Formats: sequence, C-alpha cells, structure tokens
Amino acid sequence: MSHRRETLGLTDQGLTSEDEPSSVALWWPLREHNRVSVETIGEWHGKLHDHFTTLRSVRDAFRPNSPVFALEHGLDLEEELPVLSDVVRAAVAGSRLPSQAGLPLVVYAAEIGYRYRGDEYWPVFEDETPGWRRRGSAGREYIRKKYEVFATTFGGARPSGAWARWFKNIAWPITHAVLPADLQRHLARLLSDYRHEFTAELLADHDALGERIAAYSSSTSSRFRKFAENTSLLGLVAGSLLLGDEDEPQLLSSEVLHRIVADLSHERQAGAWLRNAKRTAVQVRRKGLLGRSIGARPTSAEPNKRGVRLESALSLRQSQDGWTAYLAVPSFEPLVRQFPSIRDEVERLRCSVEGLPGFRARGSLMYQQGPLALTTMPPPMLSPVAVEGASELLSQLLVDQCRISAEPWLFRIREAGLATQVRTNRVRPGQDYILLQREAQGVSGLVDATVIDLTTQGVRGLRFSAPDGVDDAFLNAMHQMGLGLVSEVAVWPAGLPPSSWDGEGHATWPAGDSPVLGVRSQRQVAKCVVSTSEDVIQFPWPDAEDRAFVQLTDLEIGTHRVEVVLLDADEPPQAVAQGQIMVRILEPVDSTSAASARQGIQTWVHPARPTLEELWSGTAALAIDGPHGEKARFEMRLMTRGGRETLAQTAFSSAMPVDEGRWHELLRAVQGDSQLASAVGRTEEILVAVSNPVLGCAEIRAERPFEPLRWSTGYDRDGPYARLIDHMGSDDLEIRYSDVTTPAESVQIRDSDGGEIRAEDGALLIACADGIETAVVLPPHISGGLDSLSKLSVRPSLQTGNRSAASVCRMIELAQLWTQRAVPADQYAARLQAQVNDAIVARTSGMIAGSRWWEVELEALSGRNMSRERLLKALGRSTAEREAATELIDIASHVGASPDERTVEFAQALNSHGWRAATEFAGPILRLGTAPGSIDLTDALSAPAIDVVLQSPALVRLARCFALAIHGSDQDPDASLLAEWPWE
Amino acid sequence: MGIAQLHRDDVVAATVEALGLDAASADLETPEVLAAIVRRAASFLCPITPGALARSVGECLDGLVSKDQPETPGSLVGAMLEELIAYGDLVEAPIEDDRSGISRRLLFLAQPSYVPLSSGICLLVGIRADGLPIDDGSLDDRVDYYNHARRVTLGSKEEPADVLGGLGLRELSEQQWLDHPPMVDAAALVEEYSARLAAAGPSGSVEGVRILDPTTPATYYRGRWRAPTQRDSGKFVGQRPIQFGADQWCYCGLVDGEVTSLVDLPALDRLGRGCDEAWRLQAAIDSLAGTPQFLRVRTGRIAGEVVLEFQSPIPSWGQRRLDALGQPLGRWPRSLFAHKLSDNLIDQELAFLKEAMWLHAQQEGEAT
Repeated sequence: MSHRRETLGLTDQGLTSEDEPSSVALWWPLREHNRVSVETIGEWHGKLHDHFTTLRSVRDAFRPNSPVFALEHGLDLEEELPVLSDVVRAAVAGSRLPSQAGLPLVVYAAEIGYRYRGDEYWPVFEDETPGWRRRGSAGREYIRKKYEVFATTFGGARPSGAWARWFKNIAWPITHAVLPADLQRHLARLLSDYRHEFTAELLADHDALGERIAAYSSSTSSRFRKFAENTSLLGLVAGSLLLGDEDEPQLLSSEVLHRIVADLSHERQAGAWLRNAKRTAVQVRRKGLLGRSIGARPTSAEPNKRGVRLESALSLRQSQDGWTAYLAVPSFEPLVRQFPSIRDEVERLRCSVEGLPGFRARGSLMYQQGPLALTTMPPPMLSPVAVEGASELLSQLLVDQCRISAEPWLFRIREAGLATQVRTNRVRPGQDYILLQREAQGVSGLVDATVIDLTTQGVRGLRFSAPDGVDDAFLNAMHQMGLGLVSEVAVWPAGLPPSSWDGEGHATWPAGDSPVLGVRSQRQVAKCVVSTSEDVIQFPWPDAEDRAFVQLTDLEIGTHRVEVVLLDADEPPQAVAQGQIMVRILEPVDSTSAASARQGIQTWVHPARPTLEELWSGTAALAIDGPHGEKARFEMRLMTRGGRETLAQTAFSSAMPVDEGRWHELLRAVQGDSQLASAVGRTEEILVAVSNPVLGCAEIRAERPFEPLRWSTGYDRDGPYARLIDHMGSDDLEIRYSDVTTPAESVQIRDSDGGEIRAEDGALLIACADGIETAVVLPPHISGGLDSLSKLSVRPSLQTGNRSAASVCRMIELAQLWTQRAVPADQYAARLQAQVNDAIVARTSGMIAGSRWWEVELEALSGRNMSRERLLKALGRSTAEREAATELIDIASHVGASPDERTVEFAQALNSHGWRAATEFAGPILRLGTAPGSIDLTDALSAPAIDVVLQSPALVRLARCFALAIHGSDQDPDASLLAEWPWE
Repeated sequence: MGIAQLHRDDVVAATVEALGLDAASADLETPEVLAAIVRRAASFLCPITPGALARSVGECLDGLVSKDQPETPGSLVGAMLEELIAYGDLVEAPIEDDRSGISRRLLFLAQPSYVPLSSGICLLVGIRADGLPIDDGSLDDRVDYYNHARRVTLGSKEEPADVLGGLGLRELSEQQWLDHPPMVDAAALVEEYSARLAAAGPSGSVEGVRILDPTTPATYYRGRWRAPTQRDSGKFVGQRPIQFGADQWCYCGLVDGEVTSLVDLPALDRLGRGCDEAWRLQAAIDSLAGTPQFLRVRTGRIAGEVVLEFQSPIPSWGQRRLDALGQPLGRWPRSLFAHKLSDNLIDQELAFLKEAMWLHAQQEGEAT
C-alpha cells in the first residue's frame, strides 16, 4: 500500500500545467458498483501496478522476453472496468490526470482499442472521453509516452513493423488490445483453414507461426494485414488461442484468452473455426509430431525438397475440326504464399501463355486458367507462362516451378472426345491413347495407329490402342516412342476420392487426408513391399485376393513417390512386378476463395485483389462466365468498414458471359448513379454480388487500403467536401490546396481541425506528414443552373518556364500530382483532372514545339476538332515530318485502342521516316503528348527521351498530331486524353 | 509419415469415418455414404461431365463393394449422382466451348444453402468446394442423413438464419426450392411439345436413337427402352447419341422407324434437366394413352407412416417435394425408388402427383 500513497503524492509532469493540476488526489462521485472499493485514479494506478508487476515476474520465470499487454489488466469486466473508465473520464474532464499514475489511462486506451473496428481511433476516444479533444496532438503523444513507460517498466509489448512506423500513436493502444474485435474473425478463419499445416515444432515457435499465418493473410482485410506485419505478436496471439489453455504458465492471461474466445463464440461460424483449429492443434501437440523445419522460409527461388510445384495440365479435346491441345494453368496462389515478395507482381502484372495469342488480364495467375485451347504447342521443359516485367525471382520461379513436361506427351482417351495427359508416359493394355510429338517419327509395330488431325500447330499426333495381349512388336514400338508399359501392377486411389487422379500415376489429396491406395496384380504374388522416401512396409499378399490396400498417414504437404514391389514366394524373393504412384498433398485451401468455386457462375477480378478505388474507377475489371445467354444479377453495395452500414446500393443484370468490356459498360451506368457517386467518397468497402438463382452466387469485395492518411469525400447540402482521416496524429501534418484554375500554385491550410474542407470551384487537396502523402481532387459545387455548370469547363492557367529539360520535368511532376497521386472524388472531379491534364499537355507541347504549334494547342483546348489540313499546316517544313504525320493521321481512325498498340504504330512511323534512333523513346514521347503524369521520371528512358524531344521538337508535334487525330476519330467527342490513353 | 496395410473392411471403415459417418452401421453401399462420397468428389472435380464424375468415384470404390452387390460401383454412383442432382446438391448446365462451338452439359456445385421447412426442419443443400464441409464442422452430429438428403432439426428457440445463416449458408425458401413448372393437363403438355416438334422442321438422318416404348407396361422403366423399328410411326420420347458427351434427351417424330423431326430436351427451361422434361412428357403420353404411370401406396412399418413405391422416374421437382415432406428410402424392392410419408400428408401428395404427373395411386392390395 505504500506504493499507492506515493502515487497519490505525485506531481504531474506530463501535460502542460494548464491541463494538469499539481495535486492528484482525486475523489470523484462514482456510479454504484458492488465490490469496488478502489476509487481514486491513484489507487487504480497502484492496483494495476501491483498486478502488472506480478504478471511480469510470472512471465519472467517462464519466458523472460515475453511481453505483457495492457489488456491483461485482470479487472473484472462487469464490475471494475466500468468504474476505472469513469475515473479516467472524470480525471480527463476535470483536467486532473496525474502524469505518474498513467496505468489507468493505458488500460482505458487499450480497452477502446479492443473495441476498435478500423474506424478512426481518436474520434472514438474523444467521443468517449469528454475533454480529451482539446488536448489535440499533445494528448495523443501523451498516451504514447504512457505506453512507452509501461513497456519499459513491465516489459510491455512494443509495436513493430510498418504499422508502428506510420501509425506511431494508435499503434500502442491497438497493440495492447492484443486482438481487436474486427481482427478476431479473420484470425479464427485463417487458423481453421490452415490447421493442417500445424506441426508440433511450428506450434512451439510463435515467431514462425506468426510468419506462416501472415503469409496466408492476403484474403483478409487490409487492417488484418497491417496487424499481421507484427508477426511475433500475431504468432503469440495465435499460439495462445490454440494452445493457451494447455500451457502453464500462459503467454497471455487466461482472462484475455477467454474473453477473445467468448467474443468469437458469439458468432457461430467464427466459434466453429476456432474450435476446429484448437482441436487439430491439441492433437498435433499431443502426438508430438515433428514436421518439417519451419525455421527458415525460403527466400530465394531454390526449390525446397517438397515445396510447391505448380503443374500445368495438358489435355486434348476433339471437335469437328480435329483434336486440339488444351492447357490448364494452375493458380499461383500456393507459390505466392511460399514467396510472399512476388505477390504484388503476380496479382497485378499481365502475363502471356505460350501458344495463346495476346496477353492474359492482370492478375490472371492468381486463378486457375483454362483449360485454354492452344494455337501452338509450347516447348517442353520451359514455363508456358511469361509475366510482363517480372522480377528475377518470379522469372526463375516460373522456370523452376511451372513448366511443360518433357516430350513425348502421352494422353489417355478417358471419354469420347476427351483425353488427359499420362505423365508417367506408360501405357496400360486395353486402353486408347494419343501421342503428341513435335516431330513425326515413323513407328512400326503399332496396329491400327492413325495420324490424327490437330488444330494445334507445331505438334503431330498419333492415336493408338494398347492391345490386351502385348507382343514384342508392340513393346518395341513403345520403346521407340519413348513410352513404357504398365501391365503387371496397378496402383490407384481407393476409398475416399482424391482431389485429382490422372488415371495413371499421379493423384492429389487435400492436406489432412490419409490416402488409401489399392494395389492390384494379375501375377502370382507372395509379398508386397510399399515404400516412400521415409518409410517402408512389407506384408504378405492377402490370400485368394487380386488386390491389397495400404494407407499413408501424416503425409507432409508436397509430393511423395510411393513405390510398390510385388515379390514371389521364392527364397530369396524375386520381384515379379513393380509400380509407383506420385502422391501429392495439397496446401490447405482458403475458405473465402473456395466459397463460390466450382459453381455455375465463375468470377475473376483483374487485378486479383483490387482496391476500392480500382474497382470503382474501372482500373480493375470483373469477368463473369457461365452458361452463355443466362442472366447474371449484380448487386453492388457501398459500405462502411467491415460492412457495418450500407451507404448506397444498386442492382443490375446482364447476360453471361460478361467480359471486361461489358463490365466497363455496366460500371459506367453505375458510376452515373448520383446516390452511389455521392457515397463513394465515404465508402470503405464495396461488395459486388453476382448471382443466378440456379447457378449460384459469387462475391467480390474491395476495400480502401488502411492508410495512415486518407481523404474522405462526400456531398451534403452545402456541396462537396473533403475530410482528412488522420491515423498518424503527426505534429508535422501539412495540408495544401491548389485551385483548378492555377493548378501549379498551392496554398497551405493552417489547420483542418478534422473538419470539412470545401472548394466552390473544385480543387486539389494534398495532405502530408512524415513523408506520407494523400491527395484528392474535389469537384466544384454544382448547385444547378448554367452558371454552375460552367464550373466544369475551366481553362487552367500555367507557366511552363523556359524551354528546358527542367521545365519539362516540372510539368511532368505537376501532371503526376494532379492525375496520378490525386484521386478524383467523383466524375466531375475526374473531369477537372482531365482538363488540367489537357492544359499541361498543351503548354508542354507548345513550349517544346514552338509558337506555331502552340496555336494548334490553343485551338484544341478551345474544343475545336483539328482537321488534317490544320494539323499539317502547323508542322515544320521537313518532308519526313509531313510524311510521318500524314501516315499517323491516316492510321488514327483504325489503330487499336490500347496505348501499347498505338505505341507500336507510332514507333513504326518514326522508323519509316528517318527517326530510327528515336523509336525506343516512342512510348515516353507519346506519354508526354497524352498523359505526362504516367511518365516515370526514374525510368532510364525518361531523361534521354526528354533530351531527344528538346533536340527534335518534330517528335512532339508528331505525337500530338497522332493524339489529336485519334481524338478526332473518337466516337465520343467529349472523351479526354486520359480516357483515350489509359496508360498502365 | 506412416504406411499401414489395410484389409478391405478396414478401408471401408476408414472411408466411412473420414466422411464423418458411423462406420459401425454403414458401408460404402449405404446410400448416405455413397452420397457423401459423390459430394466430396464433386467438390474437387466440378465442373465435370456426369459420366466422368461417376467413373472417377467408381474407380475409388473398385474392390470395396460387397461381392454380392449386383451392380457395379460405377452404376451405384451414377444412380446416386442422379439423386443428388435432383435434390439440388449439384447443378447441371450447358457450357459452350468458344473454340469448338461445342456445348457440353457439365455438373457444377450448387451454392451451399438451407431450406427452412414449415415443420421446423431445415434441409441442407449444396456443396462447398475443395472438400470443405458445408457446416464448418460446427453442426457436428446435428445433421441427419436420409439417403441423399441432409436435415437439421432446430430447437424451438433457434432461428435458421442464426444457426445456418451464421455459417455462411444462403437461405432458400421452401417455395424457391420446390419450384415446379405450371400445372397443365396432359393433352396441353403433349400439344406444347408437339408444336415445338412441328416448328423444328425436318431433322435429317439421326442415327442411334432409342425410344421409350409407350405400349410397354410402365411398371418396368428400363424395359421400356428400345431402338425404333419399321413399325414405329408417331412421336416418342427418346435419347440420341451425341459425338462428345452423354446421350441427349429428345422428343422425336418417327416415320417407319426413321427419325424425321427432333426437339432436344430441355426445351422449356435451358437450365432444367432434359430427363425432367422427358419423364413428365412421357407421363402425359402414358396418361393420354389410357395407361397412366402409377405408384404403390403401402403402410409403413411404423404406425402413421406410408411408403410410396414409384415404378417410373419422376422429375427432380417432384423428388424434392417428397424429400421435403417425407424421407427418401432410395432403391426399393419391386420399384425404382420409394419415399416414406406421414399418413396425414398422403391425400395431399397423391393429389399433387396426380395433378402434376398424372400418376395413378394403387393402394395396397389393389390389383395392378
């Protein structure tokens, strides 16, 4: 009790003297609570100090470095915690918060953190704590310092990772909340989905467990992914939830564990997930299984012993035109989990598949693709997949882990018109096969073999039957073709169906299964030996049976070769037959991605995990397939975080299939919905549900990334507004404002005070703190009437400076700020963005290309359509320039819609008319003439491209000629350059 | 890892247990086990043709069904597959191959759902992909299995939306699940198909057609199938082979045994099943011919229960109704299949079957 007396006598050192009185003896009328005798904040501090001191010493005896959490306060949630909260509130309201009695505040803040659902922490804190708001950022700092003291005194948890760096104040109460409410469900699901990966070793190593769970967290919310960056905390929480009640002493107090479990159990599904996971963990622990080493996750492309290997499956299908080879490209998700650093590339980059024309949509590799009909046969032993702009690691992984098998390719005809690949290249008597080879080989000894018609180029096919009675001629023919024969022993999956079986030698099961294999022989067999690389058994062949069965248990994830040898009765026994089967145990599946899989409606999103902005703006696209002509109903909901409130919703339908183009048509109609458009700025999650009453339903969710700083926008009676959501609480926050009429000039706003910022004519708002920036373009206030509509047609005023590379770079940076870094609040804001872009393009082109060209730009800015004659008149006198321009104007009406296709045409025109050296800069030059903000100034080509156009201004004129001619032939005369040139 | 030899009975028991069923009272021929095996295989293999799915499961059961079982594993699985499609665990839909232009009917997983019935029982329908259990394991032993049907009986204070909706299952109303085509009289139905047949024009030569012979007794469904002969002229329900895939149900016009016109089924609902339309059309034809299809009504073993023994197949919407109101008994002696019903429902259900399918009810002891 002496400690409590000391606390009562402390002098406040924490806040300003105006905020805190020097005397801390606090007596506050409390609510009626039974059994609570502690009444002053000092007494609460003393009680908590004693508790945490004891907790620390218990932890030290067991694991000295294990942290203590503020949520482990040990207070009764019904009786004591409300009293403590009242005391803290009273102290804050009365400005009598003692600096050195900080534990009640630490506990209080952690409790708010426990209820945190990803909204803004401080507004909630301030609402619940009258009087706190006036302390501003000093109050946030104050709480952080209290937590730092707690960490020092009691070995309290310290936030770590990027989360702690950017969310430096709220990271403390959130971390000390252990597992806030909105994260619990995600963790329970991950633990259930991946429970078959548990090994005794993994469960004993919380850091490794945390790393493993974090690698699987891609399907969770961005909040959870941020939380998962602190892998040691994640592992500790997960390990405690799984086995905490079996451990003594515990790494998390039993009160906290029971509290989380109880909260999870309020939701039936989450409770079931946790129970499933706990059951498995306890079994694994008790069996004392020692799995593979989990200490080091591979960081290079070096394949591990039984690591993930992606298998591209070949098949053949017959149509009226003959047989066609098909390729099913597997989902790269398992590889991404093993090598998390490639996730972003795989989710966002385009890929091409050898043997197929064009590119696959961005993020396609995150889905199983196909079977895809191959135009030409991909070469053997190489990856059929090429990712555009892939890193060295991904490129190496593609080669190592995903390749077409070696020639020849043997296919067994499984049903009329369908043949699947037999990877063992062994034929079985009585079956029909097709053999594909890149070069035809004369084969003798095959009766009734026929050359088949193939629509796939680069390969020849031979169809043949393996007779029931195999003779030497047939064996020789097989040998010539590089094939073998399986006749003496058959090994197949028995009992519980596997997840796949190619009919001859390869089968897969999900993790957690114990596969049963059947072994059959027509020979006289006395014994059977079954072996893997780790185990072997020998048993007498069952009497009077032609088959035997074996079960494989506790198989690790990966591929296992199972050898079967049948022995005769001689001494020593001789092998009479042998066979093998490759048993592959799959990684656990993610239950959210499996939710709508294999139903009659199939959905894909490109890129694979879009943000809300990407989905709403159309940068990301949906593709839906199902029975052609059948209707798919779409329901789009704009919601707050976690889907707690629906802000706006709409429904529409379309016949299937819905490709990306059709999706964009549907989306444009949705974007025009004023109810949705006004709600999107406040929206944290978008849900698109696609359904058909017979075929099923699929859901696509996209959320705003959980960012330290973000602009929330909306409309109210006074027009559009923006409000800064600041999770950082930094003192260095700076907000700048640029009017759309003078886009290069900005003024600083002193203090938004968390309130709304409005701009009558539209504006760019930029907030930045500690190197983090967020920008938004606000639309003008359109209140009705023609005057008001005129705000949508602005003529931004710009000064370029002298004709130099530095000036060009400045304009590019300005375009980046307005068109790339800033997000338009709605379609009107996007229109302003486009007008600023047009102005930057015109001014930059005029600066580089000269005054005569500037006149053309001025006319274009005024909305005039440029005739061929007008464009040619403004060009230089060079014949080459005029001929190149004529060619570009001619092709403008029929050139492809993608900037890449247009770049190819532009480069060819340059090459044909004497600018061969400039062709490599065709892309940057066209970007400069259409959307300069898309230029990456750190790219090696950018600086030389700028030098080239300053030396040869004709190149800019040609680029602009091309762009203006394409605009002139566009069916939508109002389309902006940004819309016409969607550079990636 | 470990390797252990198993005897046949051990494999059967291990398989039944792995499916979460009681190995002491079931083997691989038990309909509930077969249904669970087919659901599991479908959860990995869909989309897939019905034939390929049946073959895949049949291979796994090779050597594991009892030697006195007259049917092959593939045949047992094929029959169960039909019941699961009819029940709604699987959906059959046409999928077009853009390259070849060929449309194949493939099986897909139905969305995991529950159907709350007025009796307080909920039916579980649909399959989660990749072998995941429909209930996340949380219902444990609360699921009752009756042949292909899965039921959960809720407590009086339990709400289906809380218990089952909380597991991510979609609610499917009884009305939606039992949706059936409009009631028409037999003549109108035959007339509708005949009009479509007439509108279809000449079919050209069609080889390999097999027809349901309307002159044969409806008591032996399989015995009604035969190839057309020169004496056959008129309109028949039948099947024709197609180049890639299972035989196609059709309604065809024959002149002297040669197909002259043809309508593929389903003709009224593209996402419906060809067999559903065919079976109902044949029932209408039989009814108009004065030889209506019939079912036997027998007293059940327990007082208050009645067993309906069907001699001919019925469409899936009819089977679902019986699944909802009674209990499927599966294959049944001297009939194709049977359902058990409470006797207070019998009049209402016989009236429905008569109105929808023109089925004649033959009471116990009544002569055929």
